[in-house]
Amino acid sequence: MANRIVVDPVTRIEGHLRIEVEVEDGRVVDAFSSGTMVRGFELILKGRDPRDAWAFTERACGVCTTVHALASVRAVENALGIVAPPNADLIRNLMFCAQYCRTTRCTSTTSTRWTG
Amino acid sequence: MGRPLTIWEHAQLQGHSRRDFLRFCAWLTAAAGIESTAVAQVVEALETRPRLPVVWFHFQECTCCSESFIRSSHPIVSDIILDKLSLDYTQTLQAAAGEQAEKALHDTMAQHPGEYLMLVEGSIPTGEGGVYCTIAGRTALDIVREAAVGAKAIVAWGSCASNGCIQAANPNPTGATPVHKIITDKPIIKVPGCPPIGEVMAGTIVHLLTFGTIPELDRVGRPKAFYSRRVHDTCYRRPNYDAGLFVESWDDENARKGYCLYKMGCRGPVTYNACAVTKWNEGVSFPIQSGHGCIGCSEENFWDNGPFYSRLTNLPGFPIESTADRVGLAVGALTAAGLAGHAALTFVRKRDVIRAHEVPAATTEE
Repeated sequence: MANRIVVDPVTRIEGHLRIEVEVEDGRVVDAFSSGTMVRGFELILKGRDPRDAWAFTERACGVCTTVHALASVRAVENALGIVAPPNADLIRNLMFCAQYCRTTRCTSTTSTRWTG
Repeated sequence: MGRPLTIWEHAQLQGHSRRDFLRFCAWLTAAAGIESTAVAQVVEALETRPRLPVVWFHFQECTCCSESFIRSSHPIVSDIILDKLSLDYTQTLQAAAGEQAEKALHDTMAQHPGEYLMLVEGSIPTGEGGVYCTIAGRTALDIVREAAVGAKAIVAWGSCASNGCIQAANPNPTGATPVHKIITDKPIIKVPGCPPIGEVMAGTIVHLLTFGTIPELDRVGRPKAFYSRRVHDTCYRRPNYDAGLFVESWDDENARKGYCLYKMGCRGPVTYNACAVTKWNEGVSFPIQSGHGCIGCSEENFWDNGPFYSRLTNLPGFPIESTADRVGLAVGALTAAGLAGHAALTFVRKRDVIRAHEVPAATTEE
């Protein structure tokens, strides 16, 4: 008979996570993970002005905000056939790198663990 | 030691000097928007008041409020606020997980009924019985109702907890609801913003901690010390607005000169927040200074208040550079409008009399 271990909430992360593992003879034989919160961004974004999409999308996560915004901007540009000028790419890369440094430092200096 | 430690005692244990402590008290006083003569009161409170037990909930949110809070600019804020507040439960920072985390929460609620401060980050989904956010198998709705019973006061962190924020934007698929619509019998302090400014959050906590009272609030429940002024009125680009100097396109010469962003959709004129005064990232900048209009994130329904890059059309009030001439012109125009209105009304009222006196022009010519 498998022994089921449940960890809910998983802490030191952004969002809500539940992990369940089945242990048999000291070994994990199965595992399940669930995100236990949903907000429905896809439904909320429908019908909006595409210029606003990045602001909605980046609210997916307040820790790694910038990457969501950048991905959203690229998606809108791809859909509309817009080519960003080289200076825009440079600024975006700087934003991305700044956020990378910030979030890495943040996650390793607060009690949150950096696992990247 | 039988009684809980005071903040000063904790600071000593952490190796902070008396000088550090006093400097911190002075900073806190300023951050909380309290007069400088009250520094002694703050010092005394932190020396004598035991730590306030605090539980910090995360519901439908993105953790940007926590991120902002731990970046409050004073170096020992995280140290003092996070360590010295007895932050007994916070999913983002606590080491415990699963059952141990939940035990910490329930222990605090059981040991400090009526004493603990309840901080809520995120809205509470009410659709489908609340299934859209669960923690340890229970809905956010259940948890918030249970925890509020013994809470001394509730702080609604950010726009999510204060007004529902993005998940409550049309069509609000999960029935996201702010705290004050669920808990109605407790004092609730709203600290909206997406996220709120770290110093504003720290200042609000400091007030509660120091005086044990609710800070003075505006009509929608926000601390007046931080939310009494419009971004527009405190913005360094305001003189451009008054002089009619506007950015017309993101890459025009006016944008380079730093003219007013009102025509690009800036929400500064309808937004009450401390961004233009306190600024962000240790006072480095704020959105308008970085060249983007305010999106109005501390105001209710800001997500549904038209596209962000469309200019506001209903702008109240006179600009600060209004002269008597301009006001006179406006009053003159109003008077003219009034006269015209009066004439029209008179015509409607007396048209039968007027008709009776009219000479039928067409017939006389024939």
